[in-house]
Amino acid sequence: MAEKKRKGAERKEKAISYFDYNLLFLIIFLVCFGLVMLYSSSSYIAANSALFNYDGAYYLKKQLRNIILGAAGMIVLTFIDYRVWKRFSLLAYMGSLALCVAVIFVGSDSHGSTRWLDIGPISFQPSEIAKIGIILFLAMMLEKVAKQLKSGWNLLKVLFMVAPVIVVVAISNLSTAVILAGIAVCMLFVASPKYSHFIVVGIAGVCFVAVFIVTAGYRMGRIEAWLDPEAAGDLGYQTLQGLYAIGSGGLFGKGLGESLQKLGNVPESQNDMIFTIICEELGLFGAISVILLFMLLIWRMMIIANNAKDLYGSLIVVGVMSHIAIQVILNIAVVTNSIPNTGVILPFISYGGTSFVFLLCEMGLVLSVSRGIRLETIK
Amino acid sequence: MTKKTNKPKKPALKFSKGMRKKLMVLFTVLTLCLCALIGRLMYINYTSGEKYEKKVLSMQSYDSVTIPYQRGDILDSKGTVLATSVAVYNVIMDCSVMNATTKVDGEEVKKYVEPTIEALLECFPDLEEEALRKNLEERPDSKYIILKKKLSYDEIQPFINLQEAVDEDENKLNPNIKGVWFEKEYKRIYPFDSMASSVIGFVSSGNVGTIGLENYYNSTLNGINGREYGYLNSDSDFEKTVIAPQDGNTLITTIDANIQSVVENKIKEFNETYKDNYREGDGSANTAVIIMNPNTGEILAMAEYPTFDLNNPRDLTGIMTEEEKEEATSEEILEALNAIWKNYCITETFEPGSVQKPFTLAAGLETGSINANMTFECDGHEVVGGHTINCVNTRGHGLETLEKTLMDSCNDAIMQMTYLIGVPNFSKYQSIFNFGQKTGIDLPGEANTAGLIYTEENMTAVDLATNAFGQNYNATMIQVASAFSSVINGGYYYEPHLVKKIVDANGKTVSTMEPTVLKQTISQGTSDLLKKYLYSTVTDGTAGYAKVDGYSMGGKTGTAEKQPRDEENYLVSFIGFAPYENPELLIYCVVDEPNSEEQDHSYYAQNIVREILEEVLPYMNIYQDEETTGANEGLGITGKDPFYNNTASEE
Repeated sequence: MAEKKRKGAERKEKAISYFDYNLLFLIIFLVCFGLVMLYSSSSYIAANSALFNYDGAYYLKKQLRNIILGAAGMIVLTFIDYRVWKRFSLLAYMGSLALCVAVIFVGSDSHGSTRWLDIGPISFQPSEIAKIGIILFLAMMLEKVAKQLKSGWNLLKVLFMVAPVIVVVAISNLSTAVILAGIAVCMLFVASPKYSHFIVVGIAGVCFVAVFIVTAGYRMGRIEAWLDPEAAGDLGYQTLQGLYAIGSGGLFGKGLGESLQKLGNVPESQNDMIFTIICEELGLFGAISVILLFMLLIWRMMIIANNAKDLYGSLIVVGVMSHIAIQVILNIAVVTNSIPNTGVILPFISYGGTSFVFLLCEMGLVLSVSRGIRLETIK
Repeated sequence: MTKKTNKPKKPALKFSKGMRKKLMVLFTVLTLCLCALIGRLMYINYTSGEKYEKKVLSMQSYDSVTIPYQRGDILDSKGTVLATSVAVYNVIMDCSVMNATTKVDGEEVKKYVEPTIEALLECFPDLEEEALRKNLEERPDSKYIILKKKLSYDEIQPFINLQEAVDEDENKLNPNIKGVWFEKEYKRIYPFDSMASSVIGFVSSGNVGTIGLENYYNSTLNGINGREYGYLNSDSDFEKTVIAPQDGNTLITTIDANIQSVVENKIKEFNETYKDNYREGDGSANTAVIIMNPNTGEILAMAEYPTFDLNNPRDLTGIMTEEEKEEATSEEILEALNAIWKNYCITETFEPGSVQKPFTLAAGLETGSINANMTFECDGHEVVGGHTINCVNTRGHGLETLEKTLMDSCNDAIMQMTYLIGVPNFSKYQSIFNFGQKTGIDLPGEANTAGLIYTEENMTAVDLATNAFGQNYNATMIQVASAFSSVINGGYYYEPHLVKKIVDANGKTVSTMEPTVLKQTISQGTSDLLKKYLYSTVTDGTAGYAKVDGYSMGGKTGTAEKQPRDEENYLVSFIGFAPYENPELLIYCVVDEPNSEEQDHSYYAQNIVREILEEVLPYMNIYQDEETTGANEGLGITGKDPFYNNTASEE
């Protein structure tokens, strides 16, 4: 009996012995690289501000705390079978929806805008939880209805199910709502066997944006600042300073730590605008390297999705992959003034509290899915 | 059992081929987006990299503004401000802001130019409109053109009011006045203009103390500049971070502005009275006075004539005419400036004359070479080393005690004493009294007199004989005054000093300068004896004109013949103290080449001292301690001077 048990365990271990070390390495590398850039971009401001007790390492220390929290979450999630979450998917979704509603009424505006929720000593952004909630929920739903997705109606039905949380988040934080919608569309796109619906949606979306800009755009300073940041005064200031940083980096940059724009010129240089400091200090070379790293990251996730043990796992990975890709694209598009300014952080590198912790948790989910891959199926 | 229930009834759905294909499509789209962004980055670098790089460098000086520190004040001992720094403003024109265009109805319009120029012309009428427009055209990107310098806040206020004016709804009335800002600076102000000019000194541009206390305590007075820079916070509001400047420390000096002003007025009165008296020109080549506290070394007043205006230190009016100034080389001008900037009391050396005699007596008494009971026979001259050296009274003073020697200022008796004292003792005491060494006063430029005195090795008999009555070696006023303090205070040589306390910008004490005893020169007994002799010298001797009726005083006159001897130019002086028992004040007055037919009378200096002390003693709460005798009654700055020619014309 005991022997049988041991043999069974052996067989079981063989079956799940795959683990995506490539992905793990990429995550660790990006996090460490992010820490270096965070310290470089934030130390001057922090060291010169009474707000941070003139402590140059203020942001670095807080980020380290977030990383430790996130890494703990990632490790735990890696070793929990992801299928467990199927049962909690609806709960996760409803929970995050409730939190997002709650933040509108009892949110704390100690951080400047009402995006934070304080529970005891913990302060967090429910919209970040909504991202993980929507991924888990959609993965569960789409697995259930995978066979009926040929119909456009059914697609719309699923979309309507996640619409509430998107709308609620949009009230306080438009850019996160866009990301949520993006994740949903990407997951639906992959699950659905058709293209036509999405082409129609895509064209409609482009038309809507174009009409919006042409008719009402000039009224919004944000659009004005996008079209001509130099003429937009204070509204274009951040964008313009970011562009100056990008432009002044050259091919190989001024060298790590040598940015001039971080010395008070680029606002939020440790946050949304950190990519501009990378461009300035490490040049085009460094910036492209970072983008390539992100490409590698999503490529690894595609591999995991393709080989996952079940559809649920695949869809989770597709969701996480979409989330990261969308944020990277939006962030870099904003700092290069390719789209109007909106606050999106660069995953793994920008300073972030809740977002960083949950991002690492999402990576834990992906790693857990990778652990489920049976080696023979990889062939 | 549990395993079985966990297993799904149907085999788990797998990621289908179709889905893989679509995921590939999604991945491709995302990758293409990232590639497009790489392209965008390259495009930005390629098209505007250089331009942006310049922008970044140019912004460094623009977005962070230096906040100047305030240089510390210089106060007198009662807190009167002698030097201070007041905020002034430079009017700066930022052409790039004024030239900025905005879109109005699809057209690019420079909407700031006209309102701003109008406001500038209204508030600063002496600006020229043409020049302003020229700036805008010729230097359209310039951010820093100084239009006006060092205006007071009152002068710039009209412009600020115009710029900030709001209607009842808090809307700006003149939102288009832009591109002019005011750069704060500090300007050094000396409220008393020329008072104690070479003692206080002045500041050249950039807070560089040039002479006097301003120079000696430059780093103490200066602070550290602050900085201000701005950035946008997470809500895109402009926020400013300020590193506050550290203001400089303030000096509290030992100078008393009231005493200083009395002294300067009397010196001035003397020089104006004697102007053109015998020869063309000022009343003297130099007149200088030191008043100090002999018990601490604190300088209460240090004055000279001529002075200069600290608020305008490079003004040579009255010294050079405009034509002379134009012809003069920069070196000649600097020389002329240095001449008026010099502090006679510490930088100029001279033969002190008979004020040396008490020191010679002190050396003799301390070494035991002479004693109080000795007498000497003055026959009017003495032959030393083959030279005949005359006494003041060439017919001879007759029998002289030590006391009478000082009272008559007898050279013959002093020379005879030197035979007893000898070269080793005399030169040792010259060095004990610090002649030939710097006193260490806290002022720059103290003269080094080491090469101007004799040492034991090179002092001949003639040198000894003449040195003994203050000829043939050089000293500075501060040396004589400091040494004399020790003679009358019981033998304590205090380091003379001008600053007694340094406080920071908030008034907290940074350091206090306690009186420093450098050495013991003579014993209490010798000091008491000499004080008695000096008292007699004022009461019944040659220093009678210095006496302020009702006050016990001691002192010694000096009449030194200047080199070259045949020109008959003299430097006359008086050094004295009051009250006799416990001296609270020491005064030393030097008149260099008084403008008179006969210069060799010490009463020029005595008259000045008496005139000063008549006002200063009551001011210092020193009370009359003697019966008034009517001595020196009704005398003015000229005393009983028979060589003062203008007496008749005044009456």
